[in-house]
Amino acid sequence: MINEMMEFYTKFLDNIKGMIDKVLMETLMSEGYNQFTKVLSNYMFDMKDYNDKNMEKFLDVFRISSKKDMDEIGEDIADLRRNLRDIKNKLNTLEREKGK
Amino acid sequence: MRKEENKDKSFIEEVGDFVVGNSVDFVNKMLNLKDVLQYKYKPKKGYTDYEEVYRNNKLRVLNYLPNEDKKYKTPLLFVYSVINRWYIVDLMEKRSLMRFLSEQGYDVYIMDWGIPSRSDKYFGWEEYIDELLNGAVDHLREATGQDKISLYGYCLGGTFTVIYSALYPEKVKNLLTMTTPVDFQTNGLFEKWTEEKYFDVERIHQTYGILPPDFLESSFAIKNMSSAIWKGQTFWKLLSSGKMLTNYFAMEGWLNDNVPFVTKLWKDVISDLYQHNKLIKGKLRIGGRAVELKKIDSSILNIVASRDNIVPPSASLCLNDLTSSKDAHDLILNGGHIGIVAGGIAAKKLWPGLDEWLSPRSGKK
Repeated sequence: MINEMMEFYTKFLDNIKGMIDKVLMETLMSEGYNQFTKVLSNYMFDMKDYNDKNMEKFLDVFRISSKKDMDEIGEDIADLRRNLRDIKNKLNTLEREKGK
Repeated sequence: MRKEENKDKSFIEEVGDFVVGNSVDFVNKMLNLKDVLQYKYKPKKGYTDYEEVYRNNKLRVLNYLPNEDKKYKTPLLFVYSVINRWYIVDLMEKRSLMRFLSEQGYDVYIMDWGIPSRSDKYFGWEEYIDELLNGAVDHLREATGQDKISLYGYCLGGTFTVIYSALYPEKVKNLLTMTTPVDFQTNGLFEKWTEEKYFDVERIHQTYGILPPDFLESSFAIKNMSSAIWKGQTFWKLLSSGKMLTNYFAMEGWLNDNVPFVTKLWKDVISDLYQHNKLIKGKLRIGGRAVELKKIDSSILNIVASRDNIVPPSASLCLNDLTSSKDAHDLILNGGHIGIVAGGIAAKKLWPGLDEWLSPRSGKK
């Protein structure tokens, strides 16, 4: 009897999962759900922008490196890398033309 | 005879038999649980010995078992997706595709894309394909003295290898793709979520710079929400065996070891592939050049997982018809996206098929 109970429990969970999978997929693919996530994410991004602006002002007053400063450093490094790559490409081109 | 015996037993006697029969297993589970709580099942990031042979920015190229004798001339470069860590193909000692291929005599390399930082936030198609992937391929060609190599791409890494093979067909002898999306509009869930009317790619790109790993992890978690019902049950069963717990934690460790995603590349992938499906339409341009799948003329092995719920089979199966390869084959395996390479069936189904196909095409020494 215990074994039959265990078997029933396992099959019951399987059936529940099957039903949930079907409903979940229909929900996640629905127009309503996707519109909701769009509105929610826009709201969250607006709040993040608002919060970031206030945090920048706060950090500026206390002269602490902010996310903006880190972003600028990252952009400077990216610029430097692009310049070095351009120089390398130009040197390669000159070398090829010299070879000809 | 046993059924008849059980019919005579009372419910209390059946409970007693059940408890006695399972008590040893229960004690074993408790002992293993103690080990779990003491972090004795800490997963390793790869099992097979390797040597770093090339580095460019955060990218590393690793050579497996470099001191083993190699039977084949053509080097094999494995390219995984940029979202997860490379060691899925070397996850456990007896489930290591890299070890298997190395022991069969192939000269096996793998790309570890590394962990991007803020200075990489402008990296897009040109940087990943023309600079990083092409740089690695050129290094291997020079180091091994071979004009052409074998490229093996998995998931989004496979898409990268397909694009690369279309741009640089003269450098690719064999193209192997595994669960690789080529057609991105197959009415799947990710295509729905990333439709232009719902998904503001540009805003996410401007806000983040580098997408945190949680961003993509959470989308997979929502998609697989119903599996949470089974997770506790499965873990309880696995507690009986130390070996199965090792496998469980190895997989869980990898699943939760994702890396940030550079948003410029992410924007390129979502916009060019998911939203506009440019690859299959022949409209994708990288570095001013058109990516034309017809230019792929290498031998192709396209491995597809029939129960893949991340990259549906229809997203991959169209590849061979779009190329001009005269030696193109599909290998369809019964498994899931990760299961075909890291699951129990990998050694029985994938590895032999792979070796059988690759061996005559790799040039014996």
